[in-house]
Amino acid sequence: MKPGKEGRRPGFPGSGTALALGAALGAAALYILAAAEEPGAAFRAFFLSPFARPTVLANLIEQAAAPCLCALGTALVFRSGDFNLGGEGQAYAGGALSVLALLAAPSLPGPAGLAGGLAAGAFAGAFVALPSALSRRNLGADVLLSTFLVSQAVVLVLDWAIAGPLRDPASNLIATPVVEAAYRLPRLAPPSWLSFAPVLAAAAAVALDRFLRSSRRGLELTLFGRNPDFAVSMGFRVRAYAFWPLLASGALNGLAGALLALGANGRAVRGMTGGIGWNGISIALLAGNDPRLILPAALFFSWLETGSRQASILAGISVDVGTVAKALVLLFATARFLGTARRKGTA
Amino acid sequence: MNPMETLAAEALAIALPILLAALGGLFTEAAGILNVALEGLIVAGAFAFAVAAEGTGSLVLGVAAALACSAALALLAAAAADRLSANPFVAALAVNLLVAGAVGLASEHVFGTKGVVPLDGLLSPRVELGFLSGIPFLGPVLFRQRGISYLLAAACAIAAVAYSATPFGLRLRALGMKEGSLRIAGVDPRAVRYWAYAASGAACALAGIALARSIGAWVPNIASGRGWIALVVVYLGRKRPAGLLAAALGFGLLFALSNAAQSVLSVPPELVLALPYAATAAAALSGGARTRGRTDRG
Amino acid sequence: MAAEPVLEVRDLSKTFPSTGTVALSGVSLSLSAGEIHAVVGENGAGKSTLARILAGLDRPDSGRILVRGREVRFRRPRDAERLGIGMVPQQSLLAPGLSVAENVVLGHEPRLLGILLDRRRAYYETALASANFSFPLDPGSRISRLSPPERREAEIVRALARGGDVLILDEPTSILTESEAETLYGLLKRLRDAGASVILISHRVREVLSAADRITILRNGSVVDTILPAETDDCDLALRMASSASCFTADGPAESGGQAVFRFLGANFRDSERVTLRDLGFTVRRGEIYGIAALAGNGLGALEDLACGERICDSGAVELLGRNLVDWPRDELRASALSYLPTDRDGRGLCLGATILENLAARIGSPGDWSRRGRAARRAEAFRLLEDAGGRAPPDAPIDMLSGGNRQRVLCVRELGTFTPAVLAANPTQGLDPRAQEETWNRLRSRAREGAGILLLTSSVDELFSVADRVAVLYRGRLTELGIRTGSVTAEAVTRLLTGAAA
Repeated sequence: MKPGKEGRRPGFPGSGTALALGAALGAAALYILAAAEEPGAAFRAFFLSPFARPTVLANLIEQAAAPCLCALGTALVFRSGDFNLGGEGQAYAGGALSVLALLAAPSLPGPAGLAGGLAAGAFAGAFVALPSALSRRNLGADVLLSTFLVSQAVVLVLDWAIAGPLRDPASNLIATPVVEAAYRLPRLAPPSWLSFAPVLAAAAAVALDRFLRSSRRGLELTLFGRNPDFAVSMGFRVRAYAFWPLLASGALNGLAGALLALGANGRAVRGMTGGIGWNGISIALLAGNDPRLILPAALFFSWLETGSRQASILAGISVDVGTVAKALVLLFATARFLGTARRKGTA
Repeated sequence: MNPMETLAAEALAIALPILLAALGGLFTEAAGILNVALEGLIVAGAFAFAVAAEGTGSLVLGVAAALACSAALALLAAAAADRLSANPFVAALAVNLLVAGAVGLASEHVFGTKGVVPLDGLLSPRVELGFLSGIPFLGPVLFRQRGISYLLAAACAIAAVAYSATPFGLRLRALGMKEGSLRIAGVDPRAVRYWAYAASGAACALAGIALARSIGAWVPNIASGRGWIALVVVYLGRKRPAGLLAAALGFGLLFALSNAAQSVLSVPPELVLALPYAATAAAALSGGARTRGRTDRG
Repeated sequence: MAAEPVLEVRDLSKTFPSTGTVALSGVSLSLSAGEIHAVVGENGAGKSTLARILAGLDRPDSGRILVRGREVRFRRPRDAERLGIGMVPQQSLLAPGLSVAENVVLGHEPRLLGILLDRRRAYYETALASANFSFPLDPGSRISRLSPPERREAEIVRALARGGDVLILDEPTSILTESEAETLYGLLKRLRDAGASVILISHRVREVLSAADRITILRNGSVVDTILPAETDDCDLALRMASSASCFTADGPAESGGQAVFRFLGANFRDSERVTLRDLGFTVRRGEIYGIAALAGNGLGALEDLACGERICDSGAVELLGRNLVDWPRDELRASALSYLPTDRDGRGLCLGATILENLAARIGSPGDWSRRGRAARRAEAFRLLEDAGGRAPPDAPIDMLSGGNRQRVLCVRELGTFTPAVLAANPTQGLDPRAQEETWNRLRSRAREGAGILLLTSSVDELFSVADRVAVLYRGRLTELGIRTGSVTAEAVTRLLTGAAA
């Protein structure tokens, strides 16, 4: 199976997206109806409370930023014909290294330190992706497996490091010490955690969109993703296209991790990424790997998460409802339907 | 039992569920589908078994529930891919996530907790196979296992035979190599594909049951990466049952060794767990494991 | 001819709802026992649809199918098979990793104890069936190890293994060399003489004329006529197939003696298929079409890879425009120096899944101008180029929607639409109907007149003589130059060289 190589499927474009959204929301609603003691309150908590207070809404927007960056990286790699399944470890490494770098450099001016921390995070993410990118370019090795496996190993090593040598003994949390307050993401609207991160994510989305749709290299990358032999015969720089998208994706994941670490936490907490890599993949797929739709999709996911958290606090509904809803999004995100269920079996 | 025998016996006990799940992965892989849902299917099987066996007190009903649940989830992914033209790889990823969420929800309602549930009655006892267990080295290693391990070994053998020596296995392989070869022979490739998914789910369900019975408890995330390792075993084993056996045994030994290292040398468990991933990553990075077979032109 | 036809179709019609194309309208034909009945037509005339319906792979919208006088309805391939009809599809449908026997018994596996596959009986049944046709096939050998003609034999065995006596072959020789094709036709005649009936679908006029007992001509989904081979000749038959075409004529040789474009200097190359190119030395100059012909397995593919820079020769050198090909940056090479029509059209020449515009933009347009205006200009240019080429497809449609001939048109527009000093054309008209073939040839000829140096690699003697100014033959990795095409270089001479008879 090769993600980029499948032909265009018939059926209404976006019908899968509609089905995915419908199934996710329907499942959440059904569960609330069946399990909640007061369905009405639970409904309000799940679906509406994220919008009820500006602080919650601002946090919702802030929380969409990091997964959005992950999704952009996923989409870029997808366009080049592969899947980066290592988002989790890349983001974790990004978060950890950004904190470590800033702990080691306590006396920089605030913005310079923050920029340096984010850069360190992007570097760490790219570094985790580097072996997979190198082996893809030089040996044609399988990215799907190698990114996942490297990432799993990195996650476990970081889990150990944060619980062991890097741990702040003074804290109850299994976490590193907190970085200087000046290095943390500036809060634009306290008490919410809203920072410039959503703007960064939006800017990245616009940049990726322009690159893919209106640049020669973007077209070449897309064509390479669909048919590498063709790209070779057209004289494209295929070695670059086999390498840089994956590295850039790693950097975006690392940057996302750094944003998480330098935001609300201000430190690297054990297991801090909490499935952000997988969310990034789901969001990219929900958006059909179109950079223009990735930020809205990320906001939708953030809403699901905020809603399920609010419902668990306010109405005692399990947060796993959000996980199920996200799973259904993923299940149907790539579907096309309405009258096209029976495809002609002619290849 | 001397330490070598203990180690070998443990390696075998660890390898068998992985091998069975890997054979399940082989069914779909041969049919040309990368099934990354193995992890979720194992968890679903183990959970359904724990709930049904604990609830009804019947092991048979527990096994039936596990088979039905995992096969149904596998078929859900298959149907999303077939009826709705969803990307099969993504649909399988979704099954993993769906199991994680749904099991969490159900566990809270059934067991009242999202945590560990001891199920003492389900622990599979050790069975010594008469005089066989007296054979030097082989006896303690092969014939003093838990009862479930013998059943697992039998299931693995059946799966391997089904793959390589039955019409069903032949059709699976033909489907993966050239779909049209089935169509022209009057066989519906879609039916074969659904069967491949169902068989894959059933194998994972049995692997999940074995995990639950070997510890006598339901543990969240009971598979803890075994499904992914099984997938890697499929590729390291070069898609041949004998190769899968070798790769699974290799992993079993690696895990057994790392468990021993953990207790003897007090190595942190995270680093021990990272080892198989790092080792497999090295294999994948050097181009040893591939998710895509070479396509035959002409 | 026998009195009662074995197989007869009356007023068969079929429309594909997804595209709205009418594949067949009111087609009738009858197949007598013991005849080879050819169905000829251009690409898209409905030949393959007819074959698929007769094999039970597609269902007609209306019309009747009669087998030995009894009306039948095919819902699945097995229905056709029960009545003794077997099909050999155009593209091989053998599972490459399985053995011949496993492919033959697939779907009808003999069983052991009710559940296991009985390998010995599968082997035996297959051996028996191939012995019936006196094929020397080993049922145990893997399909991927067989030669193309052997694969065809395996497919015939599969089609008729269960007692069938009606064989439908869809373009059976498209992957075969001319000599392999002759062997296949010999075999079909033996089958016919043993009482089988054959429907042979083809667009190779000459082959059909020598092999068929009767010929039905299809054009745009309708039957034009059913005739005997003696009532026609190759030019007449080609004309009657064509919706609008004239029988081709060749231009005279162009002036030569210009600057060297392609130059092979004692190139040696060992291919993975164990064909070794030995000491290749020749020069293609500006303004000429240099044609090299070879049958499959003689190193033409390796030569193509060397000439486009995909692979590097072991010793010696390949120069393009006076510069070693290894020293050319690939992007600069393809942007301004070399146009390339590869043999593997869909794999290497085009990007399936992408739109027509994207396939065109992979080459045309100024590489730097990606502003909104630049993109709009390129789009307009794509429209114009498509229209010039007679295409009516919108540029935003996926290229997969086009037929083989139209895909080749897009490829030609991209590669030959702008002038480059070097052109490499490898089997540029394989699988095309006469009209698309003539178009492609004309484009090559006009590029040569404008001063490009064209290296034509082909496995068709027809093509070699229709467009090449100078000709050469590659046999077992060695090149024999025949010089300028004149009356003294005859097709017979080339054919002898190709098959090694004159070596």
